[in-house]
Amino acid sequence: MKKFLSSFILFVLMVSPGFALEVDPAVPAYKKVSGVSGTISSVGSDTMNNMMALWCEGFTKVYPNVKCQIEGKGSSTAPPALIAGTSNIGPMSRKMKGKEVKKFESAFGYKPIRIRTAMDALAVFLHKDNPVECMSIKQVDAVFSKTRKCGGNEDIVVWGQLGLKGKLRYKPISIYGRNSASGTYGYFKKKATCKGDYKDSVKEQPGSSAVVQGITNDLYAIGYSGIGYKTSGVKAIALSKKGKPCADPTVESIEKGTYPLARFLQFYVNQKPGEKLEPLVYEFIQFALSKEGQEVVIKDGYIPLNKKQVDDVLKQLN
Amino acid sequence: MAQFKNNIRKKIEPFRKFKDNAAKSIFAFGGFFIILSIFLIIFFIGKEAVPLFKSYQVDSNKNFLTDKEISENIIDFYPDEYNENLLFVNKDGQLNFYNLNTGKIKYTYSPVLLENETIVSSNSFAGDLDRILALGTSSGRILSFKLKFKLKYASNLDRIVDLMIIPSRSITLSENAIIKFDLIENEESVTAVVLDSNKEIKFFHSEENDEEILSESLETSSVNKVYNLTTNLKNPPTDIGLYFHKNKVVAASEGGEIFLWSIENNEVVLLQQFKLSENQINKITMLSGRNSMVISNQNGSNFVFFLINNNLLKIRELPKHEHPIKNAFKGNLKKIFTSVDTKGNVKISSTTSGKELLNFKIKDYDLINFAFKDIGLLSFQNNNIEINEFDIEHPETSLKSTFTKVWYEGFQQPEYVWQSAGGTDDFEPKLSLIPLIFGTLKGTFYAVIFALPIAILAAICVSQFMAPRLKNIIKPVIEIMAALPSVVLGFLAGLWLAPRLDSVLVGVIIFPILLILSSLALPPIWEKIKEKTIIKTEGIQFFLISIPIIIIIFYLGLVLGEFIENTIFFGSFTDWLYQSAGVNYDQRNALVIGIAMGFAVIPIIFTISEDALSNVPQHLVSGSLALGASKWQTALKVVLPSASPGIFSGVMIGIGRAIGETMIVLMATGNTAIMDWDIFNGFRTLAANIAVEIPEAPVGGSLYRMLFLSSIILFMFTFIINSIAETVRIKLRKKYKEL
Repeated sequence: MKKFLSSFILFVLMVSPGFALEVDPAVPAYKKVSGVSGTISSVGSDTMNNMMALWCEGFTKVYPNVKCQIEGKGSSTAPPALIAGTSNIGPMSRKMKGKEVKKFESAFGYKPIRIRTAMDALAVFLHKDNPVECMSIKQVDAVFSKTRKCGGNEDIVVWGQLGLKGKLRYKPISIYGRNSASGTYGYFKKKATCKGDYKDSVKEQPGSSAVVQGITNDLYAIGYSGIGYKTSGVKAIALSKKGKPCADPTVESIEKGTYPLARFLQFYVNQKPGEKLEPLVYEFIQFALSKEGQEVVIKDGYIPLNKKQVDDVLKQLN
Repeated sequence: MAQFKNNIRKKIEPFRKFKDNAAKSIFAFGGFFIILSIFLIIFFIGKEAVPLFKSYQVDSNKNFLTDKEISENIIDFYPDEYNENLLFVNKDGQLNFYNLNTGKIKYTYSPVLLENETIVSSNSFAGDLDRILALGTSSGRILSFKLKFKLKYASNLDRIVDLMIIPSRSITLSENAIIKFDLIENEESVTAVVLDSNKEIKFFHSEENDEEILSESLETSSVNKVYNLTTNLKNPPTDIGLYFHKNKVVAASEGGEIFLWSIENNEVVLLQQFKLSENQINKITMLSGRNSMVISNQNGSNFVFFLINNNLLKIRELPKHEHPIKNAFKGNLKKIFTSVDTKGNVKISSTTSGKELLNFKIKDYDLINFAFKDIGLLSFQNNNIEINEFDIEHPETSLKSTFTKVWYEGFQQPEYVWQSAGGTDDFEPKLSLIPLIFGTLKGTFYAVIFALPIAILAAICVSQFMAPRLKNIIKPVIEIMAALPSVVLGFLAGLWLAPRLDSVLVGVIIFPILLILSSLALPPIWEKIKEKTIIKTEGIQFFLISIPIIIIIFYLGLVLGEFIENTIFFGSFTDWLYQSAGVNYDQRNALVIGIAMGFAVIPIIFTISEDALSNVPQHLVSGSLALGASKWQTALKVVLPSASPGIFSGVMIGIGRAIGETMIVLMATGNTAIMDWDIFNGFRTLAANIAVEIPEAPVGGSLYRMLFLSSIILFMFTFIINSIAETVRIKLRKKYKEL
């Protein structure tokens, strides 16, 4: 009964997004300092536009005489604005490309500083007892999509086709997904099925937790959802792309960019080596990486950084 | 005495009459009001759905005159989102951003050209973030630019569109002038195919090795190399196109031939070559998403082709013109295709259904272009610009595409599909209601199969065989089941029942069989016990005894089920099912729904049936018993037929409930829009679909209206079922009234 009750409560909580994600309690709250004023001008990522707006809202609450200008036309607009000096923060949902870094370097003589602020990753979940450890994107596409635009040759319907032997071999794959209202649905469609169409047999669940809950109770299940929704009943498998080695959805592989469905959301700033950042920008970054700032990350549906990552980022600055 | 009565009557009569009339009119008004409000509801729902099938027309026809100097040397022009500003591409490379209302050039950009180099062709695409403009030059280069439109508002709220042009790439593909080209460009890669003045087709692909791109579709190593594809062409090519795979190139020729090449592992492979007809092919139009293309002919026909398993297939014909087709355009946001013939006839059709959506005529023109957001056609001659504006809101829906099979992009064959949204603009909405209607019927069928026997047998038992004291407890208890919120039932079914069901599946199937067998076997034993005890069949004791017996039978069923599963089905029934019959046991299936929804339906059927059975006139029952019929015979031959109208309407109302049930289905099925009667598969019902999709449906969009249409269908279902229930009930009642 207790178990039943707790699962009921869990189900009720499912409806509220962002459940199961919490800011690392070791991440400290933001402390106000004196002498911060001016204008934060940010030019860059469209993905991070909402998050920037929320950060700005929180930041201006702490410092009422700070103003914010946010322009979110896309990550590619960040480096030119930083180089031209029209912005002091460049939010980007991808890493700067070599060319962009080169241009920045030729203008200033040093490289821009990358400040990771949040993670955005999708995990492919299986039941915890399922022996499959890794899948290629091509296989993921062949499981989820009926159009197989990533180039798989055959439709994958049973676990044997993913290399399983014994009991699971002839078990049909039971597929869970999100309802089409979610951004996760679109992101997965774009990245993991190469914009192909989902199979009709994908069970559309009303929330990320419902997907995970479904997989927990179904040994033959596969599903996708934000990595933050992982529970002890499921496992997030490693993925590979273009014949490269498998990568677990860990912080390291996400950082290295080897995990195909993950990316960091970051700021780029112009910090001269050996000098400190201007206090306004420095405090804004401190705020974004504080407890309050990382709560915004969750609110916007992304994955917050842990204490170690926050410390690493802040170490870069000092 | 009579006098007194008369006096009272005289006094009361007028008042009573007034009361009667008042009550009559209030009831009449109430009834009328209910009918009226139902009609109003249908009317308003219908009003939302009707625009799906409306016909379109040109909303406005505007003409503008430009300066002579501006219009000289123009090779092409591109409108902004609002058809208010045009970007003119000049032969000498100058790009002028011109405002139609003020007649002034707002911005000029001149790309760096080589000596004696001129611009011969141009193209514009929607890129990842910005629009991309690409120019083909006389010296075989393609120059690409990002067009950054900026929207501002003046103090009087007038719209001001500014443009900034940022150079992006320059690729050299040929020594000759580039007549036509197709290009895919994004941050990480660029792919181009060109047709040069020497009638040669050249292909180029370059990709920056970025860790963060995900595209397994291209497995070529064709980096920074130009390939010539023209080695085996007899007739000169007329147009070219690129598929989304980036390594598949199509070309058409003057002789009506179509070619398909693939560039893999540094090698050009001719995958397909065929003759469509004798007519020259004038245009290849890659539709948005580059999954399919339209081939336009000299004789005015347009054909949609899909690339399926490396094979070009003619899928459908779009409306035919009587004259050769001069220009053709894809829709950028919608799946539409626009063709213009040499006489200026314009036809716009849906590429999903092939339906003609709009046709009109324009003046003679030299240059023509389609509005960026699919809201108009702009044509240009001398210095006159003609703009025909229209808004085709719902091109993807027609009665045909809603109710018949459609061959969608990338599919192997025509199918009924419901898949309403995708992550990108080039997604083709698939809005067939058939899988949803099917799902609704399937769910209802299984719910009724489960509920009907239980509810009716229970009603017979309670009304005919149960002691009144027990009946007074049992009936309200079952009726309380109806008060159980369906969300709770859905929760139980989805998270508790579904995961447990597959391990005891055989037992659950065996249980009803065992129950029937035991009810045949147990009575003789019961007769013996009855002689020695005082327990009556109607009493509470009997009821209390039968409960553990049923539980024991259920347990026996489970044990037997496990035994059977281990011996006959090699340990797993679901595995056996899949391997021998190809039936996929899905955890969220119709059996689960049947049980859960059955529980929601049982109280309704039970209550109405029980009332009907109890209300059979006592003289019929007494008469039957007095003539020597047993209780069972009386129940079956006398009571049941007389009560059948009531039972029938109870069943029909139960079906109505099952059709409209939302939460149980939403939570306990996977909402999979498949069409399969199999009990071990899921389904997606109309009601659950509305609940799932209405939050994301943009108000006034195709999906939104489609959901309203599906609610009308849902209403029609219940309306028809209730009407049948009522007419049959009245007929049956008349028939049995004579008894």
